[in-house]
Amino acid sequence: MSCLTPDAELVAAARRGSPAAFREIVARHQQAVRSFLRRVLDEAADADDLAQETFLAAWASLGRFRGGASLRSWLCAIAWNKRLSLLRSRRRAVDREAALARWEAPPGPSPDQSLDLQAALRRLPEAQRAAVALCLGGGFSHAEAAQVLGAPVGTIKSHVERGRARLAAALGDEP
Amino acid sequence: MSDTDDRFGALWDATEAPAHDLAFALAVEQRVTRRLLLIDLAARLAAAAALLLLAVAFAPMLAANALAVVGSLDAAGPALAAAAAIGAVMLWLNRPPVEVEVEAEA
Repeated sequence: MSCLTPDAELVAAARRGSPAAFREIVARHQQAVRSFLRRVLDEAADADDLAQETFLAAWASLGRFRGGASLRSWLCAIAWNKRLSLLRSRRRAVDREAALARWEAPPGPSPDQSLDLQAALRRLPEAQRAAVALCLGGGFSHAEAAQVLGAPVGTIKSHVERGRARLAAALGDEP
Repeated sequence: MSDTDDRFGALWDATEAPAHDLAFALAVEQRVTRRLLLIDLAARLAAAAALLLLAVAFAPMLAANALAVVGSLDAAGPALAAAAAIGAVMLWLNRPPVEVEVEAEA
């Protein structure tokens, strides 16, 4: 399996049980999936753990990949669904008021602007944060992000614009 | 590129995963292997459970038939024992030759 083999061929080979093909899929798309998750989760370690679960789920359901979307979008959609499941289970586990207090706590002053931006990114609503992470951070098109997040393209465009404006505001710039 | 774009770029760079990460690839492979082992174990357990159920279901019939077979072998016992002994001797005589290395004299 070379790096020139198309994704569709890799998926077909992995479905037939080729470990090398699946290894190549992981090598080729781990950066996109992990970067996306690192931008929508607060901890890089949590993001990497979820990324591993994403690839395991992808391996188990390769037969369901139809090729309508790109493999990268399909993998990120699995990652997003895992993220939503994690959020739901955490929301059940964590006391609601404590979570709200933590969520709304104003960020402390930081001399590092990238930390300010990360804090601003964290304060975006989930879907907006994901759209910004995909389109501005990951270079996804609006259509691809719409496939990943299961939302209309117009909604994604709106999320990206608003998210960008809020991040710019966090930097003290005019949106 | 504006200053804002530069700062955004710095944010994306700070949260970008490495392009190549052997440890991550190995961790995924380990999870897949573990899942395969679990699937294999589940299949074996299911097969064993099915066999056990079959054995329990057919135990009375099997026991009755086994007793009948053992009873019918009583008369033919000496002949069967003799045939088995002859077979064992024939097998021993037809065993493959053992190769012995002989050191050449200088």
